[in-house]
Amino acid sequence: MSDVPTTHETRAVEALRHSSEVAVLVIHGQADLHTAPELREQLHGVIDDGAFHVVVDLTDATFVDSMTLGVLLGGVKRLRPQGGQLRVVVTQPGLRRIFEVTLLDRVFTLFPTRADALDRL
Amino acid sequence: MGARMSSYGHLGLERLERRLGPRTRGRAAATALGALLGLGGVALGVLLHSVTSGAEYAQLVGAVALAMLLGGVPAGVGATVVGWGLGAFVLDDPRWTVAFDDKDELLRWSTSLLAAAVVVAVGWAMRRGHERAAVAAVEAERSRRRLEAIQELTASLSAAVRPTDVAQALARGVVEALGARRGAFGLVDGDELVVVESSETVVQRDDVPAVRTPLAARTPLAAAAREGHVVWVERHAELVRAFPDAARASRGAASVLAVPVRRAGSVIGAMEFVFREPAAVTLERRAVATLAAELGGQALERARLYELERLEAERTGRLQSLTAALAVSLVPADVAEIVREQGIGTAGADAVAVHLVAAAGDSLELEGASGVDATGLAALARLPLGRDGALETAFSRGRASFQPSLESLHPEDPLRASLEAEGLVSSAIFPLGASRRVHGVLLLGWRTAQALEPDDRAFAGTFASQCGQALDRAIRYESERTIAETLQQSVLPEALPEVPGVSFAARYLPGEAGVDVGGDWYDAFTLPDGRTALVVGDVVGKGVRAAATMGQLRNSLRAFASEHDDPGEVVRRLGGMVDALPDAPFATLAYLVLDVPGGRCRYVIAGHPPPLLVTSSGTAAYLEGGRSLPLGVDGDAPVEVGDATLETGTTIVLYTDGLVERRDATLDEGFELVRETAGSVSAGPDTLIDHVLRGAFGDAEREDDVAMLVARLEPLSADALELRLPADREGLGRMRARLGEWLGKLGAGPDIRHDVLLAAWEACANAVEHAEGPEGKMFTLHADREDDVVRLRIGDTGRWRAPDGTPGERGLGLPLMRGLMDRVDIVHAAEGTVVMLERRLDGAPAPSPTGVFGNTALGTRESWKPR
Repeated sequence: MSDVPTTHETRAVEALRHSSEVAVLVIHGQADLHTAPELREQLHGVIDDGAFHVVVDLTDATFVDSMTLGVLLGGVKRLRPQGGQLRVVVTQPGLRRIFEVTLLDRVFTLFPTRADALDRL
Repeated sequence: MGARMSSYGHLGLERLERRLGPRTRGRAAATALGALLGLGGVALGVLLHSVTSGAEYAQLVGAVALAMLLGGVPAGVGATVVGWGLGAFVLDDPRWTVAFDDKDELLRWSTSLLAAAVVVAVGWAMRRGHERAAVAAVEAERSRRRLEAIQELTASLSAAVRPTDVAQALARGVVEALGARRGAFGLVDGDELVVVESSETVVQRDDVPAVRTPLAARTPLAAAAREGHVVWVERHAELVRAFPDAARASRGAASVLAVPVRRAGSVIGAMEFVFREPAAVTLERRAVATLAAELGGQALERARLYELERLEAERTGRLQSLTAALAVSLVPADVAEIVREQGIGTAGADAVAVHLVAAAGDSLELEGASGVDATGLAALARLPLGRDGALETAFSRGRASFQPSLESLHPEDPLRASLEAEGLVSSAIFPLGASRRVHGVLLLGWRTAQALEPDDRAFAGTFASQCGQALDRAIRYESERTIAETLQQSVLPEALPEVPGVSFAARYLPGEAGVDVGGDWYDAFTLPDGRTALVVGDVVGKGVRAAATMGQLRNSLRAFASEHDDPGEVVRRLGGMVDALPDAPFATLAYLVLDVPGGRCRYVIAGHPPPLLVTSSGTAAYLEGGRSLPLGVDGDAPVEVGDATLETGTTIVLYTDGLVERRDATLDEGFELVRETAGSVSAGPDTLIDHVLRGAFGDAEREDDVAMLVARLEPLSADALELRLPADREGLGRMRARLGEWLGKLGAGPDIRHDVLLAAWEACANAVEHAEGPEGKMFTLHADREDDVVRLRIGDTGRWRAPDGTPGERGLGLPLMRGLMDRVDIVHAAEGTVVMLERRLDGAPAPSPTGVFGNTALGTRESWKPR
C-alpha cells in the first residue's frame, strides 16, 4: 500500500470547475448511502457557487445505489427552476441500466463521455 | 244360596270317601274267596258222604250254599251249584228229599247248620279282612299321590319368584292334584281380578296371558275372592242358578270348587276348579284345595317381597349405572345418548325420547329416541316453543306430567298422534335440567296402559333429575370449554416463521373429551437480531382462566424477547409479570434462542421438562443446564441461562408435560420412551412429531393436553449462502463481498452480478437504515439457487419507507430492485421486514414498466405504509 492515498480513496467525489456556468463532479469508486452525504454537500456547494449546469461523471464509479440517484435527483430539482441541466456521464452498461430501469434516463441526460456532456453547454 | 259353604282347616283323611269302597279290587277278592269256599264245600261234602247218608250230604251242601249266599258272595253261588252237582254225580244217589223223621236227623241238621254258620262266620271275617286291606292299600296309594302332588306344588311354588309364576304353579299344580278339568287363579287388583287359567288338556306355557274380570262377577272364583269362603257347586243346574256368569263361560262343568287365597291374613284372590262329573267336590278335594291355597298365599307373599326387593335392587342398579355413565359424559349429546339408552325399562318404559332445547332457544329438538321407530316421531323432530303441547308445556313450566292414556293428551298435540303411531298408550314427561335451568325434556312411553305406581313415578323422577343435572353440567362445561379452546387457538401461532436453515413443525393436541382445556402453548418467532426464538410453556390450571393467562404470557414474552437479547432477562421479566398477575398463577416454560448460522443456542428452562436434542446420527439427549424455578414461584430467584452449540442436522424437541406424564408409567419411563422414539426417527420434524405422539400414546386416551414444537437445523445446500451481519457500513461491505463471491461461483456474468448485488444492497441498506432498537442490530441474508434462478431473502427489523409522491432522495430503492430483478416480494411482519428477490441467471431481467414516476406498480404486493 502506498503512503499517499489515491484521490478516490480520500475523496469519493471530486468537484471541478469547467466554466463559470458549468461544474463537473467526478465520482470515484463506490457511490452509495455512505458517500451520499458528501455528494449532496458537493452538489449543493457547486450550485450555490453559481454553477448553472452540472455534469456528474460516473466513468470512474464502480457502484451507484439508489441513495446516490436520490441525491442526483435532488440536484435536478434545484437546477430546473433556473433552466439548468444535470448531465450524467455513464459508460458502463451496468450503471447505465440503473438509470434505464428506474426511467431516470428521461430525467437526466446521459452521455457516454465527459466531452460529449460538456459539448454545447 | 244353593251352594254349600264350609271351611276346613284340616284334612281328616280317615273320614274321606265313604263310598270309595273296594269296587274293583274288592270284587275280585270276593270272587276268589267264594270259589275257595265252594271248593271247600265240595271237599267237605265228599268227606262227610263217606261217613253219613246221602240225605245228610245234601243238607250239608245246602247249608254251605246258604252260607255262601248269606256271605253275599255272588261267586259263591256258582261254586255251590258246581259242588252240589259234582256231589250228586260222584255219589250217584237219587235221593233228593230231606225228611226230618227222627231225632238223629234233627241233630245232624243242627250240626250241619252249626258247621255252616262257622263256615259263614269264617268266610265273612276273611272277606272283611281282605276288604280292609284293599281299602287301606288304595288309601295309601291315594295319599301318596296327594302327597306327591302337594310336594310338587310346594316345590314349584318355592321356585316361583314372581306373582304370575305363583299363580301359574298353583293353577297347574292343583288341577293335577285334584284331577280337575281346568283351574283358574285370580288375584285381586282393585275392583278387578287378574285371572290366569290352567287346563289339564292344554300344555301350559309360561307366558299364558292374564285376563281381567270384574271382582263383582257372579262366578265361584269371584265369590270366593270377594267373600273369603270356600265355594262349591255340585251340579250344573245349581251353577246356572247361583253363578250365571260362570255358567255361560263353562259349558259342561258339572261341579265347581273355589277356595280363597290369603296372604298375611287378608284375601288377595281365589282359585277355582272345574270338574266334569257332578258331585265331584269331595271332602278330600276341598281339603287339598284349601291346603294348596294356603301354600299359594305364602308363596305369593314371598314373591311379593322378592319382587319388591328385585325392583329395589334393579332401581338401585339402574341408578348406579346411570350415575356411572353420566359421570364420564361431558358433552350434551353424550348425556342425551345415555338417557336414551338407559331410559328403556325405567319404570318399565317401552320407549324413550329425549328433546333438547335448540341453540336459538325457540324450539325443542329431538336428540334421540329408542324403543320406537324413528320415523314415527318425525312430527316431534322440532317443536316450536310457545305451543301448549305436553312436551312444550313440561319444558316451559319445568314440571313433570303423566298421561295414563292417549285421551289424556289434547287431540291436536302432535305427541298424541306420534304415540299412537308407535303403539304407545301411557306416557310420562319429565323436564331435564338443574336448578331452574331446563335444557330439555324426557319422554317415557308404555305400550300398555299404566297406572304408574308412586314408587315407579318417584324412580322415573329420580332418573330424570340425575340426567338433568348431568345435562346441565355438560352444557355449562361445553360453553366454558368452547371459550377456553377459542382462547387457546388464538394464542397458538397461525404459522411458524420461515427461517432459512431451520425446518419447523408443531402440534397442539387438546386432552381427550372430558378433559378440560389446558394452558399449554408453543410459539416460534424471529427476533429483531435475526435469531430464532422457540417457546413451549404450560400454565398450571385448566379452563378459561389458564387459557387467558397463557395468552398474556405469550404476548409478554414476545414483547420482552424483542427488547432483550439475554434469554435470562426475558424470563426474569416474564416472572415479574406473572408475580404481578392477580390470581397468582404458576407457569413453566422452555425458552430457547437459536442463532441459526452458528447453531448457538441459549436457553432457560423454568420448571419445565427439558427439551430433547436429537443429532443427525440419532443420538438423543435431554438438554441439561439452564434450569430455573417455574414462573410465579419466586420472582427474585436467579435465572440460569444454558448455552449449547448445536450441530447442523440437530433436531430440538420442545414439549409439555402431557407427553411424558402418563398414568401407566413413571415419569422416567415417559422421558425414556420419548427419547427412544425421537432418536429412531431420521425424517423431518413433522414425521418426528407423529412418531413421538404415536409412541407415547398409541391408541390410549390422552389425559392431558400436549404442545410440541420441533425445529431442525437443516444442512445448508452447497448452493446456499447464509449471512448474518451487523447492520452497519462494514456489514454491508462484507455482504457485498460475500455475495459477489458466491455469485461468481455460480458463474453469473458481470451484468447479472452487478444487478443482483445492487438489488441486495438496496434491500440490506434499507435494513441498515431502518434497523430499530439499540446498536448491534443485525440483518440476515439467505441466498440460494434453484436451476437458473437465484433467490435472495433479506431480513431486517424495520419497515420499508414509502417513497414520497414525487421521488426524492430516498425511495428509489424499491423501483431499482424491481427494475433489476425478475421478482421482488416484501413481507412486513411484526418481527420486521423480509425482502425476497428473484433473478434468472440467464439473460436480462424482464422489461419492467416500473419507473420512478410510474409508481402505480409500487404497492402491488405489499402494504406500503409510511412509518
